[in-house]
Formats: sequence, C-alpha cells, structure tokens
Amino acid sequence: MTPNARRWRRALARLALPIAILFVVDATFPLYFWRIPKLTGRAADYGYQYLVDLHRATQPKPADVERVVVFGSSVAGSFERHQVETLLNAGGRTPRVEIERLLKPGMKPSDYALVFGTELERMRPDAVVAMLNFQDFLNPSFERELKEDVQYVLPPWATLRERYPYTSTADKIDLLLASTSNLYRYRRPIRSALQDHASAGAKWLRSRTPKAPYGCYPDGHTAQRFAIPVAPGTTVRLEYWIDPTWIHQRGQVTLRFRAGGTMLTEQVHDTSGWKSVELNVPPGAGSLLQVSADSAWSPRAADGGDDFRLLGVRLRDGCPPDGTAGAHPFRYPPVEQDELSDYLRMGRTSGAAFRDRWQRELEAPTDFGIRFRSWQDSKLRVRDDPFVPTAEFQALERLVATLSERGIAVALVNTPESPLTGDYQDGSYYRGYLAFFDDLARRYPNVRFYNLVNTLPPEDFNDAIHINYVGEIALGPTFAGIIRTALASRP
Amino acid sequence: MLFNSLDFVAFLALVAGGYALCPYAWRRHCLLAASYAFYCTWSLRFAMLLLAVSVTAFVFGRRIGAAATEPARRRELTIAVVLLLLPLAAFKYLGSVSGVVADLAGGAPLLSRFAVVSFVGAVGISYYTLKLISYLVDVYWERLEPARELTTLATYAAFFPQIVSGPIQRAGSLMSQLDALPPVTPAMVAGGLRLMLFGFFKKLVVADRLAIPVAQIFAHPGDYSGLAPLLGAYLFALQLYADFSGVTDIAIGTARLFGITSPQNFDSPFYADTIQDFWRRWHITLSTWLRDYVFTPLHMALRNWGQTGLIVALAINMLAIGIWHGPRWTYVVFGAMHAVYLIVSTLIQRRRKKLLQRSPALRRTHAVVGPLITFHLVVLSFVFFRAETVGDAVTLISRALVGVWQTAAQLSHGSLHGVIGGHLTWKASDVLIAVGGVALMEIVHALQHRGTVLPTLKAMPSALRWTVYAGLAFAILVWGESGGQFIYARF
Repeated sequence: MTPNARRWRRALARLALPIAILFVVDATFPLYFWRIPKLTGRAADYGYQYLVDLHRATQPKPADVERVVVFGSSVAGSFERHQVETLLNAGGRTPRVEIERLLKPGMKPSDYALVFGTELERMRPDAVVAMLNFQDFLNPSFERELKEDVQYVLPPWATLRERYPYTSTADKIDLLLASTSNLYRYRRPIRSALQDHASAGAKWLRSRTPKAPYGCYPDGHTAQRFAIPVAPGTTVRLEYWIDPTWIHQRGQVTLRFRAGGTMLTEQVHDTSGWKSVELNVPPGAGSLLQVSADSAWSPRAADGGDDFRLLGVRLRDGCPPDGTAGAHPFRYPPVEQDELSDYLRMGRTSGAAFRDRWQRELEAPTDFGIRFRSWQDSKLRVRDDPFVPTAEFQALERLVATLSERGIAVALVNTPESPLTGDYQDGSYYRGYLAFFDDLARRYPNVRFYNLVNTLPPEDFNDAIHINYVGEIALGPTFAGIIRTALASRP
Repeated sequence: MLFNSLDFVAFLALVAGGYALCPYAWRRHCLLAASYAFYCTWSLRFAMLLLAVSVTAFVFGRRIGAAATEPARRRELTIAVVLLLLPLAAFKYLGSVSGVVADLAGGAPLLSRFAVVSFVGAVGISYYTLKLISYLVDVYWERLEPARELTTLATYAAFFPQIVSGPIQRAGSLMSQLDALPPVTPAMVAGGLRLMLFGFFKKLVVADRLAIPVAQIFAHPGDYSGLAPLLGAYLFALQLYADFSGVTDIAIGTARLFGITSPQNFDSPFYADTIQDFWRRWHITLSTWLRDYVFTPLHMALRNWGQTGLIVALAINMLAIGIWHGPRWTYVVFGAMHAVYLIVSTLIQRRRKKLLQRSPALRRTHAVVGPLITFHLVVLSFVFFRAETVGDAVTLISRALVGVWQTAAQLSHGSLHGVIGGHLTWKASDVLIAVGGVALMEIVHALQHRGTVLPTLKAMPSALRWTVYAGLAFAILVWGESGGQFIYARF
C-alpha cells in the first residue's frame, strides 16, 4: 500500500464517527422534531403548518375516534378546523370526531392524489372533504408543474416516480435527496422552527408578566384573552355572559383562569347565559386575573353588522377604564393554538365603502391587483368554451374513486366566491365544471357534492376566493352539517 | 450549470469519483472531458468556440516558439492576440457598440440584439481569453515553453472550476500542474471541501440574503429615502464581496479536489489603507494580470514621458478593468473613478509617506482612517458598478447624502420615524442572519489573512471542529437562499 493510500484509509476511518452521528440525527428526526410546537399562527408559513397537520393526520387513530381529513389549496382556509370540530363534538358526542385540515396554497388535486396515494393507509380517514375552487383547475398544464414551494411538502419518492418526465435534473436530485434524508427534506420547517423560537424568546423577555389589564373593552365585552385587576390572597366572584351566538358558532366554550403563573380553574360551557365562578387568588400570584377562551365569536358573522371584533365573554361588572392598556403575556407553548387571524384586506368596511375599496384594490398596480385581475381574466377567458375535463379533473376523479372504493365518505365542496366576481358563472365552461362534480357524486357511492359558491356576501372575502375570519365563522355550522351527513352516510 | 445548484454538486461528485478511479495517465483527459461536459451544459455552440480559441492559441504558441526572429515572433503574437480578442469583442462588446451606432442612426439595433443574445451562452469568455493571452505573451517573453500537447492547453483554458468566474490563473502555474498532475491527498481534499463549504456559506447565506434589499433599492433608487440608499450602497459592497469571494472559494476548493492549487483572489480588501493596497487585495488575479500585461508594458513604453506616462498608464489600466466587466457606461465610470483615485493616491504617495514617518500618532491615525476612507471610496464606486444606469447611481448617491442629512436632523429631535425610508421586504430574521453571517465571514477572513485558519481548526478538539463544520453545513441547508446567479459569472 502506498503512503497516500494509507493516509486515505486513516482519513476515511476518522469520518466514520461523524457520519454515524449524522445518520442517527437524521434517522431519529421524526421522534423529536414534531414534538416541537409551532409557535406561529396557521397563516404563518403554510408549508410548515401543512407538514405539522399532515404529521398529526398520519398518527395512529384511536378506536373511539372518527377521523375527517379536509384538504385543498388556499381556499381550504374557509374551513375553520377548530370551530367545526368543537361544533361536532359539543355535548360529548361519541365516537368523537377528529378533524385534520391540509392546506397549502397552490397545491392541486393531482398533488393531493400523490399525498393520499402514500399516506392513506396511515391516515385511515372515515370521511374526506375536498375543498375545491374553479380557479384550481384553470391551468391545463398544472399536472406538469412542480412549484418549488409545493414540491418540498410532497412525498418525495412518489413525486419523483410520478413526475419524473416533467422534472428538471436539479429537481430530481432534490427529490432523491429529500427521500433519503429527513434533515434535507424538512430544512424549511427546521428554519421556521428555529426562527420562531428565537422570536418567541425575544417576546418572552419583553412580556413575561403582564403589568396592565388587557383585552377588556369599554362595553364590557372581552377579547378571546383578557386580564382584569384582582387583589392577591382574596376570593373573587366573577360573573360573565356567554352569548348564544358563541354557542351557535362554536358549540362549546372552554375558559381557563390564571393568576400569575398559577392555573386556578377551567370552565366548559355548552349553553349560553350568565355564568359565575369563584376564584381563590393565592397571595403572591400577581394582581391580574388572566382569562383565556379556546375560541372567539364574531357578531359580524351572526348579524352582518359592523362589529368586526372577535369576542369572548361579557363581564357583568364591566371592564376597568384601562382595560385595553396592556398586552397578553407570551406563553410557551401557545395555549390557544387555533386563534383566528383577524386580517381584513378591505379594512372594516361594508356596503358602498367596501365596494369602493374593492375596486381600488382590483385596479391597483400592485402584486395583489395584478394577481386579482389575472384570476378574473382566466375565468372570463374560458367562459364560453366547451368544458373538457383536464388532467387535474382526472386526477381528482381517480382520488375520489379510490376513496369511495374503500368505503370512505367523500364531500366535494365548491368553495364560496365573492358575488362581485361571479360574471363567468352563467358560461358553458362553468356549467360543465359543476356538472362534472354532480356526475362524480352520482357515479360513486358515498360521494356528495355541495356547491357553496354563492353563500356569502362580498364583505366576507379578502379577495375573490379567499374568505376572511368573519366568513370562516359564518360557514362553520354548514361544514359541520356536511360532515355529519358524510359520516352518517357510510356503509 | 451553476455552482450553487444540486446539478453541480452531483456533477462534481461524479467527476471527482471518476477522477480518483481513472488511471494516472488518463487523468488530464478526464479533466478535459469533465471541463467540456460542464461547459456544454451552458452551450454546445460556445464549447466549439472555446475549442477553436484553444487550438488557435496552441498553434500560435508553437509558431511563436518556432519563429526565428523578433519581428516574426511579434507578428505571430499580434495576429494571435487579435484572433483571440475577436470573439470577445464580437460577443461581449460589438452588440452594444452597434446598438449605440444604430440608435444614433435611428435604426433598429439588430446586430446589438444578436450579440447580446449570443453572449448569454459565451460563459467565461472574458476569463479564458485573458488566460490564453497571458499564455501567448509568456511564450513570447520566453517565460514559458510552448505547450507540447493540445490537451494541456485546452484543459488550462477550459478548466471547469475556473471558467465561470476565475480566478485567472497564469499558464505557468496551472499548466505545470496539469503536465505532472500531483497526487490527491486527504489533506488537499479536506482543505478543498472546507473552502467550498465556506464559499457556499458566503454565497447562499450571506450574499443572497444581502441581495434582497440591494435589489429592491437599486431597482428603484428614487423610491427610497432616509438611510435606505446609504444602506443599499454598503450592503451591495458586502454582497459583492461575499458573492465573488464565495465563488472564488468554491472554485479553488473544487480545484483542490483534483490536487490542483489555484491562486488567491482576495486578501481582506476592505481593510486596505490605500487604493493601491485595495487593488493588491481585490480580484488579485485580474489586477495582477492587467499590471503585468497592460500597465507595466505601457509604463515602460511611456517612461520618457515621466509622471504623465505613469498617469496615462494608470488611467488606461483602470479603464481596462472597468470595461473588462462589460460594455456599459456604469463600468466605464467605475474604472474612471478608480483611475482618478489611483492617480491622486500615487501623486501624493511620497508626501504621505514622509508625513507618516514624522509622527507615530499620525501613523496610528492613518491605520484607522486610511481603511475607512478607502472603503468609502470603493463603496462609492461600487454604486456605479451595481446601478442599471449612471443616472440611477447619481440618484442613489444624492438621495444617500440628503438622507444622511435628514436622518441627522431627525435624530437630533429624538425621532427614529422614517429612518429607513421606503418599503424593504427584509425580515428581522434576515437582518440577524446577515449580520451574523458577515461577522463570521470577516472573522474567517481575518484568520485567512494571518494564515491561521488551519492551525486554529487543528488546535480545536475534533468534536468542536466537526461541530463547526456541521454548523456551517446546517446553516447552508437551512438558511441558504436559492437560485441567485453569481455576480461575476456575468462577466
């Protein structure tokens, strides 16, 4: 053996240990990574949220649980998982319904067919709700596209096999690496988790203990989380109103009461009306009583009025004058995982003001305006064309056939669209589109089609197809009904 | 094929593996084949051009070596240099010149379009042309024997680690290694991989992250106020440095995987205390090439003109550096600015030295102020280097000056509002990663400047050393931005 060969042998021997450690860290990744809580809201980093939800959806299903998987592109955002689950399980329903929602903007039916093709055995859903939108089907070359943003959440090996002819060499190598290394495959969630925790650390340093009351409005209503002053070492009697709309929208409400770091009690309500609770605030527990609800309710979603707030209880004794002065403390992990985003693109407008703002946004030379107009144009372009089911429709049909064959109930939902952009709906293409789903529902057992396209007013939308939190809450009972029917229809 | 792509990583793994298994006698042919395969991924047509100019240089190198008289040797050299410069002129400069002519004549710049489109495929033409000219001139000056085999010269010209962005290695240094390929030792490979890792870190984590605000600010300099234009100028200087030194590290590291040693291209240039010093530390292989083949011969030819000759030689040399980057007025201004800097600095050099010799306090002040002044002069010239037009550069500089004034006034009133005027889509996490990345980059550069990187790493316990490597790889995997072309690959 030459001296150089001996040197190589020694060098390679030294590499053995680092490679072994890397292998262990990579192979055990699923055992530790998914235990790390996602600290940001559902709308922050959709890819990470999708992977977290997919991981949960593929966990072993308990015997006394019926599992429902809801999937779709960004339009699946109209399905508020936590709300519908609470509505379905209110009153102690057995078996309990567990809902998993898979949402990824830009993800097409053919992409979901790949996901179900590899994960169906582990998911074992009792019912599947497909959230569809006309916009999802308007690019005829969809099945050949592999957006970078979607690619990394797809099952890599199955994607590589199915899309091999359409992927670039770099993408092939990427998928191959992703199918062999967890650290590589999940690099983006790792980045998000690290950044979220760094940011959470900074927040924690800033707001470990609340100093002033928060979330308590002058009219006595509270936000989902609020705090009011109390005297430590005393017994406090708190009376509060659970609004009937809240119970209608959520089915059941859970309230948690804390003082300082001490959990005092938890109250579960499935009826409306005045409630009261006696709380022993221990000495040294701080001078604020902190209350958090597991959900909020929207007056706007109930009556169409101009109150856009997301509310909790109403206090009989009202709020302190500085009831919104403070900020709620940071908690790790977050207690309220399903807090709604109160984002409204058109601001808190309604009626003519909403339409003016809508028109301005539509015509603006912004990314949003351009995208908005391109959506509208793409629909109007095919308006009078004869309907031809493209590969995306065929992929969806194959998926529906597979699910139906296995006795899984399927609900196909045509999601709502703003009435302000519905000009294309009387065209031949759109009629064919609806007929396609009607036909699917007729041909396959346990499949139903629901057309919710014109169910919401324009003010419930952030744009043409994405509804805001008011619309989400308003639609919750409808989705609960759809799932009840689906579960009941199974053989 | 970009260096920062998975295709390249796979290609390199295949070539390095093939090279290791290849019999020694065939290794140079293996490198030649790999280099042409790499080049063909850009353009097959321009691979033919590369081969043609390599054959031309080989033939004329032999003819220069065989010519009996000095006039004959000079004639052969002149013809060869003209032949080598013709493709460069045609594909890099002719388009713009004809465009200007056509624009002046009011006609359509057809030739301009042809040449600009064509140049896209002529990757590395500026680099391999200079390499081949230096070979011919060295043969003419009898510093070098004419190449005996075409494969050696062709490999020298096409050597794939260096063809996209340099370094511009001299024929004497690289061809001697290609003639007698050194054995590939584990130390060489480890050193190469270390450099590549650091190069990828600089490109993907630092440069591509800095590129986000830089691209925004330079795209619309008129939209930014406050400190944003100034920030854009500073950040571009750092981006360019991280990007260019990153690709150089990858190139040098890649060459080491084949046992080839390449020259350094950077030596902590932003710590230079004079402009002369800066050009001894920045793009060293280009500046020394121009010094040896343009400045020195010119200076010698003009030596009878005294100081005027020196000024003319410096001006031509620096304008050549500017124009080498491409046919744009911004590069001409960049070169002209450095010509002025160098001329002024050279003219006052003697007085400055005398002044500094007189007082140690002045020397200490100069050690701090010198690099600061030099850095800012360079940053100012880089604004022209990066801007789309000279007008944009002037706008950015004027807004930067006004912005500094306004910000100072605002800070005096204790307000931070609008300090960064304009919308920058740069998240807090990006800022933190960029700052951390630049700090790490500069620590390593400082160690490289002192020549203590390897001793520092070797002095570490092996667990710590591997943690450093793993940390860098992890940072690239998780925080690496993707898709950005190397800036100097355009030239």
